[in-house]
Amino acid sequence: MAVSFISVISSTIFLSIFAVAVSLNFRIARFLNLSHGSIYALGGYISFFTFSLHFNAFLGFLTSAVFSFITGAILFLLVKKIGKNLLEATIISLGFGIGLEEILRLTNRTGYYLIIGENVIPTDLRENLNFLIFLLVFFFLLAIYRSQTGIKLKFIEEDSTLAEIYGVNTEKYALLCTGFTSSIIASLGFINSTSQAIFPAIGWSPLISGILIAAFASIFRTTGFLHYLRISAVALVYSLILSFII
Amino acid sequence: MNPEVEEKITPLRIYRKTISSKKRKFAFELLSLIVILSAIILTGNFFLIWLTSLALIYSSLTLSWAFMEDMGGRTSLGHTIPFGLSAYLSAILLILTKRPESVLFSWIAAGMVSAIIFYILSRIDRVGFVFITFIVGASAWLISPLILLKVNGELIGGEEGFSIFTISLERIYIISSTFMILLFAFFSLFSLNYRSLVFKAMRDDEKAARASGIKIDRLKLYISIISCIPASISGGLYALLFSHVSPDSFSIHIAIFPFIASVFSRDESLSGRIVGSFILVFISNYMNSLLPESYLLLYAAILILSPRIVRMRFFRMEILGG
Repeated sequence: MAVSFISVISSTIFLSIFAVAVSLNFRIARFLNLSHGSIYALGGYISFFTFSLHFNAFLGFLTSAVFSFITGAILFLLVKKIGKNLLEATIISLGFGIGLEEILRLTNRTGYYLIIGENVIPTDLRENLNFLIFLLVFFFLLAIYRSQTGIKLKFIEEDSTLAEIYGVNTEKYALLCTGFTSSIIASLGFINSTSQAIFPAIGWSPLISGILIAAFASIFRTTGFLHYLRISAVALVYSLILSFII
Repeated sequence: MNPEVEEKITPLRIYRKTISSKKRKFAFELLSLIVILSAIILTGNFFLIWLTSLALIYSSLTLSWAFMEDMGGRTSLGHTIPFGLSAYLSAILLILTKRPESVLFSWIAAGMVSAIIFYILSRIDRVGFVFITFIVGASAWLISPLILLKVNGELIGGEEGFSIFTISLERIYIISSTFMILLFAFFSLFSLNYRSLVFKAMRDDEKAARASGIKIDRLKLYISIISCIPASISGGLYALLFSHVSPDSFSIHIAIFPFIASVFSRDESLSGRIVGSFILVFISNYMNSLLPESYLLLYAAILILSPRIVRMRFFRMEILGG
């Protein structure tokens, strides 16, 4: 029972971070980012090369965060250039995600499944790192939403067009948000993929769970930091249900 | 003739003229399709027949998907639900019963179950419908490796899927080409029938259609059934063509195929969608021979550029009359 409780908590932490990233992207950048699954895989591949080639783990982690931020920014620029609404932007992100997956697969042709031979990040450390990311993300969100920027973000969440009319640079926040959420997801991928076989479609399962959790949490119709706290509550219920089913 | 009466008749005449011109176009397209498909089987080229069978199956999936978009105004990214469900059910029933006629039951059952799912989902608004069908389809893809079957004390299924007995390629080709031709004829004649205007009225404005006395919920149910059953038959044929079913039957790549195949075709052109499906299957196969699965990069590029392509298409049609 204790083991199951720990697995529920670690699953809650992991899914909360994923769902927060999905929801943040949807509310600020105004599209459902379906490339998050592939960005998770990108983090996993960077992790594989970092540990296989015995690079510094911290540098690898940093590379993963920075590289995915740039990838997210490129996606946002594509969305801004080609997409005109929520649906178009989401379809562009799906295409971007599939493209990224295929680039990962084509550039790593040693095998479809890549496995890091040794237990490079022990389970306890991995769960602690996940918890650390969870705390960092939530403290960051709390700090942001209590500042002047937070008021602007809430304004964008409630009515993006009106916020733009009142002089809020919505595009700047959308760009930063897409990059930031991509960084979070790739960081998760870097840490968590060390325990499993890495393949291009590795991120689809957490992405779908993240979307479902974010969608259920949006029923409460709250904005700001409170919304992200509710996501964690929904993630807990979701993890509990999953632990009963599987 | 009274000029007022003549003025009232004019739009009706134009409508009739348009319909009769569309009927001529349909007859020509149908005849061309029959001639081309007959010529292909006469070549006796195994690979060409196999590839065309695959293109025919995908074309049927695209046509069933297009019906939901053209008549219901709903873009589905989850047509893998009837497609994959039918493929799995066909394989499982064939393994358990070893009777080929059991596939007919699986096609209808999978089609009806999917129609109910789509009918429930169609109550959500149009943008939400795209997302929810995608999520349900992707969830089915992720859950499908959990499908296991115990046969003679041995567990089969999972990631590997199920293997079934082989049916001759010529037979599959004839079934899939007949099915696709019938589907094309049915959907074309349906769109030419005045009754399709009721569906189109709902597609264009649900509230206005409801106010006019059109039973929206009933139409949504019809659309779900008419779209899901052919998609389900396509899935069943896909299983028979490969003699194998795996979680890939639910994959995202199959889910987005009808959307990509329709991106370049002119508005509501069924023949354009068939051509789009054929081109996509043949190009994918060529790219596969150069670099395995590299065609997915093409899918990705088309998806990314799709909003611009669609806008250019509408610009040509609306402004330039292309």
